[in-house]
Amino acid sequence: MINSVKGVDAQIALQSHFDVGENNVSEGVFVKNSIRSSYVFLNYSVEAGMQFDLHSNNPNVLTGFDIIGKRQLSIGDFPFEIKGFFFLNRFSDVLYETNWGFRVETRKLKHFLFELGTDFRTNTITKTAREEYDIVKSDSKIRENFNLIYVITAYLKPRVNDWNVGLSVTNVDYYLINQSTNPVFYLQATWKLKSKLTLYLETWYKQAGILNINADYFGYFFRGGVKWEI
Amino acid sequence: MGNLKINIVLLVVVFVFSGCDKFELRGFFTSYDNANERFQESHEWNNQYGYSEINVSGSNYTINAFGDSHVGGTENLDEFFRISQDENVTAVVMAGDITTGHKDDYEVFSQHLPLWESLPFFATTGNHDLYFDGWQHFYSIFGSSTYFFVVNTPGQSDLFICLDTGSGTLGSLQLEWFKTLLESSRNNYRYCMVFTHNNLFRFRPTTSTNPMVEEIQVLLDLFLKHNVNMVVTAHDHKQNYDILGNTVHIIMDALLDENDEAGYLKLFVTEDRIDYSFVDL
Repeated sequence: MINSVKGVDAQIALQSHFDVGENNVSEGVFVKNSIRSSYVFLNYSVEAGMQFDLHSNNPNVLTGFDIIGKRQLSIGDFPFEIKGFFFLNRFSDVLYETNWGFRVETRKLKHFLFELGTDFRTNTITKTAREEYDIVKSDSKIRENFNLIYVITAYLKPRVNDWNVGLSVTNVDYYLINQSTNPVFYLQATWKLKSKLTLYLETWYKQAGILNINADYFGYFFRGGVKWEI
Repeated sequence: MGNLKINIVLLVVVFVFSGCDKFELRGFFTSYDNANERFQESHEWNNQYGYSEINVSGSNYTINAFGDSHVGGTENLDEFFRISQDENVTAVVMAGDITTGHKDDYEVFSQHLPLWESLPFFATTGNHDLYFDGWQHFYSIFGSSTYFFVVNTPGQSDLFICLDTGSGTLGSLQLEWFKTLLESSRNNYRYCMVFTHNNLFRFRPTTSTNPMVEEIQVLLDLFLKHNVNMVVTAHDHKQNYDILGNTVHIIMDALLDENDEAGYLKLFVTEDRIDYSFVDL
């Protein structure tokens, strides 16, 4: 994921990207679009986004919503940022996932980014489905708590460079957090086309059970997008 | 310095591609055979030999199930088979990690497996069963790892589906088969139960992995829409359960000899409901 450019003054940014890929459960190629906006003021920022499934086996079109609040801090000369997040993933017409948590990010090192945190996942059966399938409300949710989340990225150039290439390992995406034991790898490239316009391209590769059990291919997708700082 | 780097790389390569007794680190990166290939072999086996049906005389019957015996050791396995035969259960289901994947362990397991005529048994693979190219040995004993069987009572029939998640994913072909089976046949049966190795949920902090979240989401959708009554898994080695919709999700204790809390699952199928209990050994 591209990470927000920080500014001292108030700043608004708009961002949009497309995901194109396939995996073992997608029944062919999927195409998704996400639009995001962020507002930065001094050391605070808030970011929100929506995801639309343009072509997939998900019957919903609006399939994701998320909001992230951030605060930059430092202890001595060690800068870091804390983030609280919430997202909704409408992965089915009868079920949805809500997920919230927090994570801490540091960019102390010029060529690296580290994030660590935890999340709390709830899968819920929709009210309509509860009625249709005769399900009592107490059986309509299932929760998983304290899942470890992480992002580790190594950049070829210092992060402030006009162009860059990075390799990440993570279990986090905007509307999907995998279990800590399911790391996903992605290669990213960014290019600052103009002073306030950045293009980005990412290639995500997913291998089920990698580094843990008898691993097998799961899927891949490409992400291409643009970020405009107004 | 250059030699040191080369030595480190060689050490890592040897480590990864040789493995130890119980884990094969090569498997952490790639499979000998992927989920789609195993499904195709299973599917061919099913086409050749068909699916099992068991007839019981009464309305109620019992199924015993276990996971994670990890043979080598057979003390708990023997006890499980002995109890199941003494209690005259209708069938037993083995939900993966039956062996360590070694040929020798499969041979030991075969020697302890009762005759099908005296105790009908059904098995599916776990990740350990696939290490050290273990699929060929699993296949030689059990044939398919993706199939269903039916238990017929005088008035009703119940559907039991075994899925192969030994690689942490069903793969696209097995998922399509499972979806088609539910869509075409689920309504013909009273109860529907699924057995597979990988637990879908993490009810506790654990290092055991699960299928990718996107795959779990698709499965939850299918379980709800097709009224799957119970999903029985293993892999996490510690019993747990929860309910989502009309589906009870169960994780079984490991039957492993070294496990202080070793146990198995007993399912009581009656006209009104399916009861279950975790049995300690």
